[in-house]
Amino acid sequence: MGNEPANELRVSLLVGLPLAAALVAVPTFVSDVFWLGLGITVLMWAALATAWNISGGLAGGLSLGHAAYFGVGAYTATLLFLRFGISPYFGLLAGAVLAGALGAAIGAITLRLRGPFFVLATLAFGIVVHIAAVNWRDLTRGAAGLLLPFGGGARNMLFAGVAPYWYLGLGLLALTLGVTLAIRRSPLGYYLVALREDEDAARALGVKVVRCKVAASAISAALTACAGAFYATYIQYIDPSSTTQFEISVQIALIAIVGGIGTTFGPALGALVVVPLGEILRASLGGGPALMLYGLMLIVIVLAAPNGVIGLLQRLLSMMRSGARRRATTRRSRGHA
Amino acid sequence: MSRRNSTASTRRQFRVATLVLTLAASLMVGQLAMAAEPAVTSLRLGALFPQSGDLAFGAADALQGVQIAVELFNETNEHGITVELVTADAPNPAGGAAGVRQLVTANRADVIIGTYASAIASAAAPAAERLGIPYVESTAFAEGITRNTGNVIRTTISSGALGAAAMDFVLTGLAERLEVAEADMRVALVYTDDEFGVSIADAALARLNESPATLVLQESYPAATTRDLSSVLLRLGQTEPHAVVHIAQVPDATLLWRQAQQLDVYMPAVVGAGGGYGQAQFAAALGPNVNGIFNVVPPTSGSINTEALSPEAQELLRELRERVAERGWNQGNYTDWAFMGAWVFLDEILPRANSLSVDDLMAAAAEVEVDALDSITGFGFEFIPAGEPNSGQNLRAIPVVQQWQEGTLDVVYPEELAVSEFINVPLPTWGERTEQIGD
Amino acid sequence: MQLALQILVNGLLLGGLYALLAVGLTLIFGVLRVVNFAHAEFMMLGMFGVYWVWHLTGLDPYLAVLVVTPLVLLFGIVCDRLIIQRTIGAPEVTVVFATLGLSIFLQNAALTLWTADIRSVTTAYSGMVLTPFGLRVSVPMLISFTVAMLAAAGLWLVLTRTLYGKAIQAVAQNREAAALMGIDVRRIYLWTFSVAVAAAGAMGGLIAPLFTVYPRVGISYIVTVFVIVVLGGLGSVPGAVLAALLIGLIEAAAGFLFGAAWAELSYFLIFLAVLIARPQGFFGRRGAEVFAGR
Repeated sequence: MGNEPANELRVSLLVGLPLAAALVAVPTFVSDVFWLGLGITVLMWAALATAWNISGGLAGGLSLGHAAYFGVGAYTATLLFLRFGISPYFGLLAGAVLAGALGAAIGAITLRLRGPFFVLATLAFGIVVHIAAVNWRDLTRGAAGLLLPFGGGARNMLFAGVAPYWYLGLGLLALTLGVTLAIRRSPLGYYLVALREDEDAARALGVKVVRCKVAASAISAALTACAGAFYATYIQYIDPSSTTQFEISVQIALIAIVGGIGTTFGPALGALVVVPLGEILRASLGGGPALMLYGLMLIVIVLAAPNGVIGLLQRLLSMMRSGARRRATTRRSRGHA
Repeated sequence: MSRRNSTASTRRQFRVATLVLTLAASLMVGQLAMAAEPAVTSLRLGALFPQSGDLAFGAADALQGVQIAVELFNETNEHGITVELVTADAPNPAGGAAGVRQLVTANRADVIIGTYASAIASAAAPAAERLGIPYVESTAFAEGITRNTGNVIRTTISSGALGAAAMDFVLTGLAERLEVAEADMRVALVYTDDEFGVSIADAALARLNESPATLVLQESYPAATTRDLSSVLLRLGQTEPHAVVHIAQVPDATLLWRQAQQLDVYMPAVVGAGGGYGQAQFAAALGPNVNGIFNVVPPTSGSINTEALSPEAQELLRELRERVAERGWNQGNYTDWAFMGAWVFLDEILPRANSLSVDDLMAAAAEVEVDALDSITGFGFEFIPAGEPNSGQNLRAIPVVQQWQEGTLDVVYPEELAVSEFINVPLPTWGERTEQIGD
Repeated sequence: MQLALQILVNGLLLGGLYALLAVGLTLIFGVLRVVNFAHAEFMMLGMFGVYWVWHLTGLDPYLAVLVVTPLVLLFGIVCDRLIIQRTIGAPEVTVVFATLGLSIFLQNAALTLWTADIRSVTTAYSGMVLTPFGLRVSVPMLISFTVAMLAAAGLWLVLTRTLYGKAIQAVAQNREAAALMGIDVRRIYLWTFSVAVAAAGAMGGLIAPLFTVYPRVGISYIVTVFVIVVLGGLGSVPGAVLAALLIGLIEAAAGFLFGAAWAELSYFLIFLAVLIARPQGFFGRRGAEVFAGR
C-alpha cells in the first residue's frame, strides 16, 4: 500500500510519456470531426471523473452533487465573458476559485455525515444549485440558456474548429491527473487514505480530519469547475439542464466507479469505456433500449466488479501471471514423468 | 450631325442586341427551370430529434413527419433528387452537438433537420454551423436559433411570435368577447420554467407591458417535477383574472385543470401556447371540460378548414394521413409541422439550390414563396434572406387561435381563418359544469 | 382563514401521497441500509399497471390496485433476489449505484415497452369533491391519503406488536447480533424490501386517477421522498409519516406565499439545515448519521 503512489508515478512516467506524445499528435492524424468530437467528450468526462475521484475516491465521500461545481464553472466563465468581456481563460480561474470556496463550505458542512447521509446531503446541495440556476433568471437567463458568440476567437477560448478543444481537453485531463498524483504523494494523500480506512484511528493518530476533508472537497470542486468552463466554451451554449442537473452528477460519479474509484487512472479509464459505449449503444439501438442496457450494465458492474475496469485489469493480469506459473509447473512435472 | 447619327444608330443596335441577348438568356433560364434538372441530385438528410429522455414523447411525432416527407418525396421523384434519411438521438444539448457530429461525419449527412426542443437546437445549430452544414429547423420555437446563427432555415414559428400572438389575442379578440376593456383586463401568466415556457412567456410579457392591462400573477414552476399546482391555483383564485395564459406540457396542463376543479378555482378564459394544450392526450384527460380552452399555435391540418386548401395540398395531406394511419402512428401538431417543413425544404428549396452549401441553400430559400393554401398546415413559406437580421426565419409562420370544441381543436381567430364560432366565453363555472354532467 | 385552512388541507393531502412512498423507503433504508433510488420506479410500475388493467378491461382503478399490487410485490421479490441481496454488506458505492442502475433500467424499459406517451385514467370520480365547512377536499386524494395512513399504521403495528416485526427491528439495529439470535436475516430483507416496494406500487395505482402516467413520472417524487426519510429519521415509520405531512404543508404554504418556483427550494434548504444541525432527523436515533452503512 505504502509504495503504491511511487509505483504509480513510475508507471505513469513509463506509459504516460509516450502515451501523452501519441495523444498530442491525434488531431494531425484524426481529421474526422466525429471521432475527434467523441475524443474531446471522453477527455472532458475523464477529467470530471478524475476530479470527482479526489473527494469521492481518495477522501471516500460519495458525492452526487458535483454538477453544481460543473455549473458554477460553466456559468462563471460564460457570464464574465458575456457581461464584462473577460476572456474565459480568466473566467475559468474565477470559476475554479468560486467553486473551490463552495466545495470547502460543503466539505465543512458535511464533515460529520457518513454513508447515505453524505450522499443525500450532496444530492440536495446539487439540487439547490440547480433550482437557483433555473430561477435566478436575471443572472442565468434560466432555461433559455446562454449562448456564447460564434467565432469569439482564440483569445477568448472560442475556436471555430474542433482540434483546439482536443488540446484544451488534454490539458485539463493532465491537470486533474497531475493534481491527483501530487496529492497521493503528499502528506494529504496519506492522511486521506488513513481517514478512508478508519476515521477514528486516523483521528487518534493526529490526522487533521477537518483540514483534510475540506481540502479534498475544495480541490475536487475547483477542478470540476474548470471542466465546466471548458464545456461552456466547447459547446458554446449552456443551460441548467445540461450543466447543473442531477443526471450530470450521476454520470460523473458513474464513470469514476466504472473505471475504479480511489485509483489514479481508473476514473479516466472509465470515461474511455463509458462514453464511447454510450454513443455506440445510442446510435445502434436508439435512446430507450440503449439506456436500458446502460442501467443493466451499471448494476452488473457494481455488483460483479466493484473495483471497476482497473480492478478487472488487475485481476486479469494476476490470472495471466498465475496461469503462466501453473503452465510452467505442469510442463516441469510432465518433464519429470 | 452624321456623327451624332451614327452614334444614335450604334446605340439603337446596341439596344436591340441587348434585347435579343436578354430574351435568349431568359428563354434559356426558363428552359433550364422547365427541364427540372436541379444542380443537386442526391442528398443525405440527417434527422436530429430527442428519442430518449423527457422530450422523447412529443418528439416522436416530429421525427415521423420527417420520415414520411422523405418517403413521399422519393416515391414521387418529381425533381430527380434522391434523399436518404439518417437519424440520431439528441436527448439534451450536449447530445444535440454530438448528434450533429455523428450525422455529419459518421453518417455523411449533407443537411440536418431537427429538433423539436429549443435548448437542443440552440446547441446543435451552432455545432452544425461550425462544420459548415445547413440546418433546417422544423419544430423548435426559440427566437435565438435563427437570430444567433447563419445556417438555419426555420420553417416554423418563433417563440417570440407565438408568445406575442397569445397575449395579443387575450388583449384584443378575447377581451372583446369577454366584454372587458383592454385597460381593465386582468391577466395571469403561468408557465413552466423550461426553455419552452420561459421563451414564450418572455415574449408574452413584453406584449403585455405595451398595454394598459394589468398582470395580476406571474408564476413559473419546474416542468419535470411538478406534482402539485394547488398553491398556484389558490393564488390564481385570489387574483381573479379575466384570462390566464398557461404554457405547459401535458402532465402539468392536465394537473392544473384537475386541481382547478378540485379546488373550485374559476378561470373565465385560458389560453395555452402549444405544448400540452395542443395534445390529444390533454383533451382525453380532461374529457368534456376541455371544451372552450384556447390554444395559440401555428395552424395545422387538424385545426383549419382543409377544404379550402389547393388540390395539391389536399392530395399531400391525404398521403400524409394515409401513411400515418398505416403505421398506427398519431398525427399530432408536430407531425404536421415537421412533415410540411421537411416537404418545403425538399420540394421547394432543394431543386432551386446550386449546391448543398449553406450559402446556396439560404439563397434558394430566399426565392421560395409558398401560399398558405398550398400548405397542409395553412401557413405559407417565405424566408428572410441571408445577411438580414433573423435570416432563415419563415415570415409566413403566423399563429392562429384554436379552441377545443367537442374534442377537436378548431381555429376561431382571426376571423378570416376561423372554421368555428367561439364557444364557452366566458367558461362555465365548476358549479355549472357539474349541473351539466348531472343532467 | 378559510384560505389558510384550505392550504392546510392541500398540504396534508399532498403529504399523504408522499407518506406511503416514504414509509417503504425508510424501512428499506433502516433495515437493509440500502438507499433505494429505484423506489419511485415501482410507483411508476404501479401506475402503468393500473392504467393498463383499466384501459384493457375497464376494471375500476381502485379494484385494479388490488390486482396490480401483488404483481409489484412479486417483481420486488425478483429484484431483491437478483440485485438487492447481492448489495448487502457491499461498499456504499455498490449499494447506491446498483439501485440507480435499476432506476435507469426500469424507466427506460417502460419507455421502450410503452413509449413516452402520456396516459391518463379518467373516472367519474376524478373530479369529485367533498366540501366540509366550505373547504374543498378531492375524493381521490382523500382515498389515497386514508389508505396511506392506514397502511402506515398497520405497518407500525406489525413492527411493534408482532414477533416478526420485532425481528425486523432487531435486524435493523444490529444485523450480526440478530443473525446470532437465529433470525433469518435474508428472509427479513426479502420481505422488507418487497413489501416496501409493493406499497410504492399501490401508491402509484391509487394516484393513477389523479395524475398522468408516463415512464419518467417517478423522478418528480424520489428526491422529495428522500428528504422526508432523512427528516423523519432513518427507519422510523411514524417519523416518515410526520415528515411527509410536514413537507406537504411546507410545499403548499411556501408555494402560496413565495410562488411555486421557490417551494421546492424551501424544503431543500430546510433539509440541508437539518442535516447540519440535527442529522439524525426528528425521530431518528442519535448516531445513525455516522453509522458507516454496513
